Amino acid sequence: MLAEIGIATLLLAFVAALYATVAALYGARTGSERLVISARNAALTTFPLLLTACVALVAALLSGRYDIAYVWTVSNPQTPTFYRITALWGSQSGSLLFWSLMLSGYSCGAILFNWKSDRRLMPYVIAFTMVTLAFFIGLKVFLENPFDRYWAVNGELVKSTFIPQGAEAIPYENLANSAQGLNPLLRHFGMIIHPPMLYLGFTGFMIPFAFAMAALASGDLSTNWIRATRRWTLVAWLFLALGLLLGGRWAYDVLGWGGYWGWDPVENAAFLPWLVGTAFLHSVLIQEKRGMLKVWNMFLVIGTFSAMIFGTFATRSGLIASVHSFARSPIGFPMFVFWSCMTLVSVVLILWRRNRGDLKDERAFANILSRESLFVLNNIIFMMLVVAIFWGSFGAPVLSELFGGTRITLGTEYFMTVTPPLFAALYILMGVAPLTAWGVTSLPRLGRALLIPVVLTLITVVLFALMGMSSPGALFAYAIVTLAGYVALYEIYRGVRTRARKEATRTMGLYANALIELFARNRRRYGGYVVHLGITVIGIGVIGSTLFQQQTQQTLSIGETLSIGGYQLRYNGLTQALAEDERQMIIADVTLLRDGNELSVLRPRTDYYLLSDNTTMPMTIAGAYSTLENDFYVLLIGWEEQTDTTATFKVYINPLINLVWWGGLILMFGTVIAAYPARETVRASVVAPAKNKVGARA
Amino acid sequence: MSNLSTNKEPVLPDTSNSSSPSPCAQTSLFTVIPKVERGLGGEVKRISHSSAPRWFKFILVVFLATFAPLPLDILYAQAPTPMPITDDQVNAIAARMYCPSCQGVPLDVCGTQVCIEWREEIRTQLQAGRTEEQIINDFVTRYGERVVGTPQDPTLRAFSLITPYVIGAGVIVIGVWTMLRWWRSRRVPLTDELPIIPEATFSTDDEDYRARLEQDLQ
Repeated sequence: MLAEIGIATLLLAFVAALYATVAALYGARTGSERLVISARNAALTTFPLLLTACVALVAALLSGRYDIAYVWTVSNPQTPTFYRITALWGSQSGSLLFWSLMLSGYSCGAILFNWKSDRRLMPYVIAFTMVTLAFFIGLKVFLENPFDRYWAVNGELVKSTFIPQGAEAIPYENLANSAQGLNPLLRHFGMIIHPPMLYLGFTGFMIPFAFAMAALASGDLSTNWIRATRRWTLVAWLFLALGLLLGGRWAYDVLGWGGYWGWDPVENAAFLPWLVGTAFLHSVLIQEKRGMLKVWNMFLVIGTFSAMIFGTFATRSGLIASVHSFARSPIGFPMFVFWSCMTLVSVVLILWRRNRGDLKDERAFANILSRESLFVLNNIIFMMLVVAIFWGSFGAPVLSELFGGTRITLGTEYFMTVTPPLFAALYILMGVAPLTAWGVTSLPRLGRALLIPVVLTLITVVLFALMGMSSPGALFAYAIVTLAGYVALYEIYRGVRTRARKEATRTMGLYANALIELFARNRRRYGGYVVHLGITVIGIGVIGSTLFQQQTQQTLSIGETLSIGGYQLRYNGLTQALAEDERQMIIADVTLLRDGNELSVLRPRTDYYLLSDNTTMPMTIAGAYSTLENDFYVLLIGWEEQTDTTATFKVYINPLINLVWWGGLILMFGTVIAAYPARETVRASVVAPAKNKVGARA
Repeated sequence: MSNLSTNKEPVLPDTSNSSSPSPCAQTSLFTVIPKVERGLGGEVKRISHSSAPRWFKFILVVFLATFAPLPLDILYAQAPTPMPITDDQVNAIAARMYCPSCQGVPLDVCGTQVCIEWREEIRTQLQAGRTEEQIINDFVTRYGERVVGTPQDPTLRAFSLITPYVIGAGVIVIGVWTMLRWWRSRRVPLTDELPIIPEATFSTDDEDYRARLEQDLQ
């Protein structure tokens, strides 16, 4: 019954999304309010339908319906209840269903929240969101159905959505005993939150794209679409950032690399839309404030969406193999076609509007030294980063294989050569741009504004040098990163001071009020400065953990000690244990000392998961001692099987690594401030044919 | 990492602080001490160089012929074996390579059986005195360019590393050209929701900043 419910709701959602697309377009074309409302209602039904499908699948997972192929693949009788729920996104078809639910949720949210204020754009917003949703539901219905079941037909095993002729049910015991269980790598808290966050980020970028395309299609090319999507963009950007951070944390805890970012193609596939989205968040300010960069912003919105679909395609198609990616599947080619078609349609729409003169800028650059010029420079650097990362992850490997017949890998060496200068340039701009004014800034005035942050930066660098840091590269890196942070703090301070000076008596309460008022009246600007602070803290952590990481690998006998970076690690012995979920654990007992004083007892271990084919899959779980200064990170690499008297450990000291996670929290706080809703205004309230509204302003 | 690329020669044991006899004393062992005959006044009357009996000389020659090569053998046998290769030396090379089965996972951290074997092979090659580049080239020859983080083939290497800079330079040129074009065009504003405040309006930076801030907060 659960499978039937799932299949039926998926089919209904597919039909509803298709109907909504056609009705919305036809309604907009003919100016039929009735059809547009009908399209809206059809679009809104997709969410409860997909939610029902998801609930049916979760119910099947919880009740152990192993005749459903997906349930058989991602769970077995030993799988704990908690992981049965998270198994919803544990493999391809289930995660596609979950992805569609998120997309539908965003679409319904945008339709409901913006229906009154942006009625003119709505038919096209419905059309673009629903055509994308229909495509993703179609993938599940026709190619990767999570409700496919196993049947016995004439003694043979058959996987089919519907009941085949002469099919018989397979005994429960046979299926349960052979069920595969969830991939051990996914049995981690970070992996439980990381995919939903990433999906929320990816699917969220659908909304600004749909509004931008709606603006192009309807001809309402004012800033309405930007105002309508500002918050949606920030929310998507925040979730994607959180997804990336949580993915890093998962890699750090589970993959045993000793790091959080390996420049893996799938990591990069998620990083690319974030980079383009960040460029868009900056660039769109120029259009709002100065009426400039209209064509460029459209390209950035398309770029974000395109990068999102490409990332999904790359992860799910088998284009690249990775620890993060799903297996090769039949959805690759349709996804590639969809990605190409959507990108092509979008670009054609932009060029059509541009050639009609509908996307002309309202102002020109008044001066090279102005905030808008520096924002454009920031965009150029973001794009160069995108090009460099795309080239290293996909461009060079795919082209060399296609045309040279040689498969190559561009790894950390390539990325650490190409990207640091670009990141450095971005941090410098982050430190200078907030101090410039819209329109024009003179060099002396900019110099005077920079004076205090530069002095603070120099003091910081001198302190670092006095503390023993001698690498000029590291000092330079810290200088530009801390400058960006000091500028953000200085800007907040200047704002508070200026507002407080309006009052005759200055008290602490007055300054606090000024601070609250400042953030309340321009949440985006001051929330943005908090985000800059978060990026600064992340930068400090990344530099520390990259440039000053120490590592060693040594084999120790019981009682023996290894030394690294002022720490000593003593090996005490090895124990074996069996966990509740039947994984076998080999646990090392080590004592961490510093200057002879015992700091902690760590238990790095290797877990062996028994797979359905009676093989085992090892997973290395680190033992870590965390302080703000650094992480002492120990991995159990090997041991003497017979006597347990010696064991091999890989030890990392990752300085300042925890600042990466703390910076992520600050970034989240700043984004929430920037996205916190203000009172909305009604911008348009009629639906009219697109041809009447070219260049119209509400 | 750099110390791995040097070929290490076997090092002989240091004997400078040993308590062995001086070279002079060593030669006296085999030197026939001359016999000196003196007169009543102590003057030297005759010096005889042949004081040892013939049989002793014969035994000495046979002994030397038999055992003279022995010290060399002992030296050769006691020559130190090359320094044991540490895991860190192996990992330093493995970090530049990638697992052949799990794409994107560096060889130094991959736990698959094939990677364990490859690391052992790196160790063996290091023990044989091969350099880092020789080892990597050997793996590339046998398994292809995909096992290293950047291609070893000069053409592929240039193709991989130079292309992003070329594209980046193109992006900069287009960006700067577009900005200059915008700057020169200086269109008349169609709307004036946010007029530019000229700096000359205000005598101090504070006044200027306050005006801009208030405009921004509106």
